[in-house]
Amino acid sequence: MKGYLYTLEVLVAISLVFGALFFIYRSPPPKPDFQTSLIKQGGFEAIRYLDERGDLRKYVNQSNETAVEDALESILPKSVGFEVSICGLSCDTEGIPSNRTTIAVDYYVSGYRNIFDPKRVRIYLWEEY
Amino acid sequence: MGPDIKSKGQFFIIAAIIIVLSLIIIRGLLGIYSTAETNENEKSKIENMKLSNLKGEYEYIIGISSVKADPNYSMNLYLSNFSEYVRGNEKSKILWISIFVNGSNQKYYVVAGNYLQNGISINMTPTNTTPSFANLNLSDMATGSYTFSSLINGTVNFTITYSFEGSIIQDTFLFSVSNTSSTAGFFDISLFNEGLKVRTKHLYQRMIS
Repeated sequence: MKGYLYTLEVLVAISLVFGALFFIYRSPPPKPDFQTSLIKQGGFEAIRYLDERGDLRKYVNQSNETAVEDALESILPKSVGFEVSICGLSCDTEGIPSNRTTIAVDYYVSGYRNIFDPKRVRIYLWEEY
Repeated sequence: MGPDIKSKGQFFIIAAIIIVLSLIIIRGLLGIYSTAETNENEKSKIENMKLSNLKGEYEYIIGISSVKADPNYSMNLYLSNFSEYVRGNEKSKILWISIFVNGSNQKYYVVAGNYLQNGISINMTPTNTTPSFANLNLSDMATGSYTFSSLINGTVNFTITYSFEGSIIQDTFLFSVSNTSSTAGFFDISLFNEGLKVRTKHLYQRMIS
């Protein structure tokens, strides 16, 4: 009788533990959202690549946002939408979707060749669904 | 059945409950620390990229200034202008020291730009130079200048010392004085974002051909 009770209680204890193991670990822990950071990093690396290639300063000097966007089109993934603004004191927000979480990346350009003309290139980035 | 038997049985159940509670706590902690660390890692990566961008642009300004008719004047105007622009858009603290070496008379002209969000008093002690000591009191977003004469054609060790936020900051950088004029800049740039701080100090010198 004693042994029977011990065994029963041990079985209950083991069932409790395994039951808990099953219910707690049946789904993996929620994956943290690094997508925003990755998109921001990707945007920064893309604009830096344009600068290293020697194209960015020329476009910024000409205030040619279209040229910057065309160049970034082939660098950034299709799953990321973007809009470029070449800013002086302020940046315009035309063309940015209102129903998306938008990330902004700023890249400074102090001039082109022997011309001092400080500007900021701002890329607005969002995930395309 | 005595009390001993009941107590021993209950210990199994109690132990099982403790194990289950531990499993629940572990589940909650799984990934928290690595998530927090990775998040900080990502943020600091981006801030370091921004810092690298600014560092490159300050160097570009030294380069642009070197081709102007009055390199000294241009350098200081551009550095002030750019520092104000950055300060207006970024949480930043910047100190720059520009140096124009005149190759024809071995004089060099030093301008300090304080964009550290507080006033400072900078002591300057260069080697192989007269005078061997100078001081500039600068409020925030102000510049000050001094003229030195190098006693040699060679390397000048230039030390700046100032008190800032309760600490004594001392930096030494080297630049060359020769029969060729040059522009140079020492930059101390800090960026802040959500409790994170990144900083760089560097010197860039460009000879004027």
